[in-house]
Amino acid sequence: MLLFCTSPFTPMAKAITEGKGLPGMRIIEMDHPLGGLTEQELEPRFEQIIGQVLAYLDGTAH
Amino acid sequence: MSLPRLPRAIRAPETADPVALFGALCDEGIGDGLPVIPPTDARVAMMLAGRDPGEVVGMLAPLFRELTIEDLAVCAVLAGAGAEHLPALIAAVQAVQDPGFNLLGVATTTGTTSVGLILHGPYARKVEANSGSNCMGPGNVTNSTLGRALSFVLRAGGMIPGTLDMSTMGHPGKYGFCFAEAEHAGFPSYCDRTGLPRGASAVSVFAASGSVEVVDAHSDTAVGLLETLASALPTPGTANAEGTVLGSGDPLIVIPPEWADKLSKDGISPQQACALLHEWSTIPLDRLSPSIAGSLNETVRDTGRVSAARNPASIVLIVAGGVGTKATYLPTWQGGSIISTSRIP
Repeated sequence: MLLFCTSPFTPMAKAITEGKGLPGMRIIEMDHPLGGLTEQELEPRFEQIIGQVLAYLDGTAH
Repeated sequence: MSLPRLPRAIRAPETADPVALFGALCDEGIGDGLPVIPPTDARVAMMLAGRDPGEVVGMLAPLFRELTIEDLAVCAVLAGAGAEHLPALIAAVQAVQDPGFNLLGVATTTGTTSVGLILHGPYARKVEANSGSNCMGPGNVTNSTLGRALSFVLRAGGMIPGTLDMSTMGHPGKYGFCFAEAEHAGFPSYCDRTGLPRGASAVSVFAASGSVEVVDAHSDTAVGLLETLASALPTPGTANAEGTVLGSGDPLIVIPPEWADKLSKDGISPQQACALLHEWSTIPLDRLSPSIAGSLNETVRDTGRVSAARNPASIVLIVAGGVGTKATYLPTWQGGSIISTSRIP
């Protein structure tokens, strides 16, 4: 299972997942913000994380 | 990220330096930046008044740590509350765990949301809560300390500013927000309307996104007042995530006794008032910005109109306040949070 968030929310995501008994939850972090961006502006966010997501899916993620 | 201690681990010796104590609590994330009453063994015992300190009250979002009566008692002491306030605090903590209240969302949102509480029934009078003039302001011990005690409990549950409470702006209501419902001979109380036994005491919790003053010194009928009120409910910049309503769709409206007098005199019941408010607070989409109008769900767009309330029953209308013809509209969190009520034994 993967959890996606922008970097300011990473400490919150970690604390909540730990509180819910999922301390090892894989968190995929990207730059902030996402809201209000154009498609063109969103593309670098995609590029930022797609490698990590694929690595997780094919089992090569550390 | 280090988490604050659970309140039960906070104990001050009789000789504790209160200034050092509140500074330390702020550093941990549980303090609110204001001085606290040191929770000595004697004060906590007095607050517990023989209750089982280990009784679990719940696991509050966002950290889902188990909180006990002792945790609540320590928070109540820190906030300056008395033992007579603990039953309401316990009931409020039960109420925030209602899934419809959505504490996880309320506690972590970037929205401007503060958790407030309303005291209903004989309990409110017994603890001399303020339901009259300036009831949402400072000066009353019950209102001030009970609201503050709940905010301590919420931070113990993880609503820590800047780390888990991600509010972009915050709101002064986060220091504590509590008032009492006023009794009015011609206007049935909220408890009476929600099926609680007659004469029951209860506490309601709400997630307020600010407050809006609604002034009408011109209407000489109840219908006129309701028309003014309805016109103030739609906030065009606050469509909810589902794009179905403006705001949460569950508005909380506090009318002053003078407005309740007029409703009663004109024979308009609270339910009829809510039905009219729902109908009249529905506005055409050209009142919204194009981007917000475009974000609405297709069914709503097809009707060409959007409402500030999901339905008449989703509007909570209560009486409080002093003299004057000013009502207060408390828009609740547009991420979705219903007003939740729990009985005070």
